[in-house]
Amino acid sequence: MKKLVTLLVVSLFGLTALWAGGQGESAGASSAQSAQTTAPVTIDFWTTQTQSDRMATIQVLIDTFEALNPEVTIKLVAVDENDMATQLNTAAASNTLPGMIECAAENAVAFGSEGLLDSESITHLINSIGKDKFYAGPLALNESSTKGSYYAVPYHGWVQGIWYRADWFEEAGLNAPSTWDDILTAARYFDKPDQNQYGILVGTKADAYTEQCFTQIAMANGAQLFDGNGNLIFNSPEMKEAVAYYAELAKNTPPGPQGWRARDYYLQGKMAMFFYSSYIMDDLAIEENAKDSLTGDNFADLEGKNFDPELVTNTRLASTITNTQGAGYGTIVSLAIPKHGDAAKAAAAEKFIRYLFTPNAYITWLHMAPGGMNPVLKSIAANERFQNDPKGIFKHYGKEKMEEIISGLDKPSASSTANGWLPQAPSTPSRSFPK
Amino acid sequence: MVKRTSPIRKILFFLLVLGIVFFSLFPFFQMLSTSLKFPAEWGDPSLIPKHINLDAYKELLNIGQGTKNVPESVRTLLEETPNLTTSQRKAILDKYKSTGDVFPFITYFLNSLILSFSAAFVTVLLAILGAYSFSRLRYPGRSLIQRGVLFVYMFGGILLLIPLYRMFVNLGWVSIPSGAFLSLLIIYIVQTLPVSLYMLGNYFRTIPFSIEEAAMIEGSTRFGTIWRIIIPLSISAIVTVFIYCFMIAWNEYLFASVFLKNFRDLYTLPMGLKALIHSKNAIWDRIMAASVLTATPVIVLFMTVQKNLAGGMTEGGVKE
Repeated sequence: MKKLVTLLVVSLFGLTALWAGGQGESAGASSAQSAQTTAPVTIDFWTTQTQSDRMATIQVLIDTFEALNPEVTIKLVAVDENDMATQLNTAAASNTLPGMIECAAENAVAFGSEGLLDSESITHLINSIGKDKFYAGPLALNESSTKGSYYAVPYHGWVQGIWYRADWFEEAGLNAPSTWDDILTAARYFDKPDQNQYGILVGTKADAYTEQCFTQIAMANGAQLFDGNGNLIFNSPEMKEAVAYYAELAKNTPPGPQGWRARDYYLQGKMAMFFYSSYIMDDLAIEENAKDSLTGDNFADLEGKNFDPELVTNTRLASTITNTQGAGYGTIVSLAIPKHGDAAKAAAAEKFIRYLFTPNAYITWLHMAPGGMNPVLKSIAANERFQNDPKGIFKHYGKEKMEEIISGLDKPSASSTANGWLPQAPSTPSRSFPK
Repeated sequence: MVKRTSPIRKILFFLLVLGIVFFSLFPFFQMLSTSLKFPAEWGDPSLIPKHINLDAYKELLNIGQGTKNVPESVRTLLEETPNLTTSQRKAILDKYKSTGDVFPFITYFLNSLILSFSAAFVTVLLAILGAYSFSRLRYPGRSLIQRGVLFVYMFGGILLLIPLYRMFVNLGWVSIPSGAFLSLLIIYIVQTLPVSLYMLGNYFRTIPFSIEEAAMIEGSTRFGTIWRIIIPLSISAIVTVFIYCFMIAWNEYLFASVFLKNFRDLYTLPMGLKALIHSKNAIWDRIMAASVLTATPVIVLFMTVQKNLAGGMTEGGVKE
């Protein structure tokens, strides 16, 4: 009896291990070439792009890089954005830090300030690419407390701003909605509830969307949550002004507590302006994507409408809002090299990041999510190949507009830590702008 | 003297039961219904889909999925990379095309099943022996050990994660697939053992000692007694404990995500689900279909052993 039980347990453990071994073998086989020039080095690359189609695209980039650099082997590991901190701290405690990571800039700054990131290698890399090649906003977001030194290098991101009916504005002779005064004037001018038309959409529910709208408006007035010493100053005069102004704007929003969903009003030609991220680009340009916003299902006073192919031509983005200062809003995803103390690994990671910034590889990456992933290098926006995205969205906008949209990244961004906004939890586009 | 219950009380009781059943089953029906709806119907609160959409299941179970189309951006990348030989290009493309599986359900399912089943089996075995010693044997420090075991429960998983991970890294287990899998198995056993010991120990005390005594007088050994008397008499409690351990391991995410992240072929179902959910487009049919597929095995398991859960097989075993 005793023997039987012992035998059972031992064989169970053995079989489990065998199973795992068999399962893992195929994973371990890499496509690295046998020709090795220098000492081979293997690095782990943690990415937050966990969807399988994106993983496959990144794998192609890795395979191509490995074919060109046979001495480097890169293992792609998917790590959920929300687990990144747990995983990285666990790895740091057990000396198993990965060669490089891709994560939200706020997270990178948090990890950097905990001393987990190798800012020397990254700063060296940024300088060798050339600081002036980057948009200023994303770079500033990754800066450490030492001026000119960076925790991570920005890689892609989305921009938020006010998307507006340029044709209506022109007809009415109004200025583009980029200052507080101009926005309010236009919102009141176009607000005609009796005709079921509204001036502007700002969030009026307690959710992430409202937070994003308000943050950008408050930043434009220089309002801050904390002063230089970390004291809460939410009751500052600037903040009071911003709250009052926001309440004034909200009077021109469709009735009831509204969130991002009320973009339907804009897509059905019933609204002059709305806050949104660059994720809206495909909905404006492509009928298939606009479909779910063209029905009367979501709002009682919308009856649904056919797709308006002119809408994309008539829409422009005011990506910067100004009152006492200019403010943009965006979420940046960065690449960083953890401090694992292995020079060979750091060099390999640096080499791979440099490769990821070459136009060919870069555009392949950005095309995984047109509109959601925008370049942080100035030279890419007008690039022919970048314009020709797989969904055919960008050609509806044209070079000039694309540059205008992406240049929203050039302003200091509202999620910046430097100007008194604590880094927020990464608000993934899927959560804030579900599509 | 039997009291007759009034019909009103019967009806109220029946309604209460109905309410609880509805409350428990509704989320499951909602899940099933959404997984079968076309996207156009997601906003419709009706539980019955107008048109049945099986695409999500087909995609997840990889039925009739052709090879993947290569997007232009990937093709251009390879064409515009000089210094790549034709054979290298072809190898990269073939690899890309072969990764068409969105959610290798069968692999994840088997991983989860083997992990959960092994963990539950070993836990129950150890718990039977341990609980027997707590309830029947006398030795110094018995009660201390009995209470000390529950001490593990004072710590949340997140607190134990880093020390445990470090221990297994130092053993060199985490860098090889089988080692990582075994580490996880050991952690699950350690996590579920305390409560199993506690539950079984309490149950064994309810079994009259006289039955065992009778067996021992007939010449049965300790193990013989456990095997022939304790296990058959407490099978319902043992099955309950098994299901409890199985479900803990089946749904566990935190430890699995840390230990197995480097080995995609060893992912468990919760890890696969999480990857599905974090997709830009809220693909509810896919998410819900995956959830149905994940929940089904546990439900089936529970239903199969349901009949064994009727307790109290010792009635009439002894005349006190």
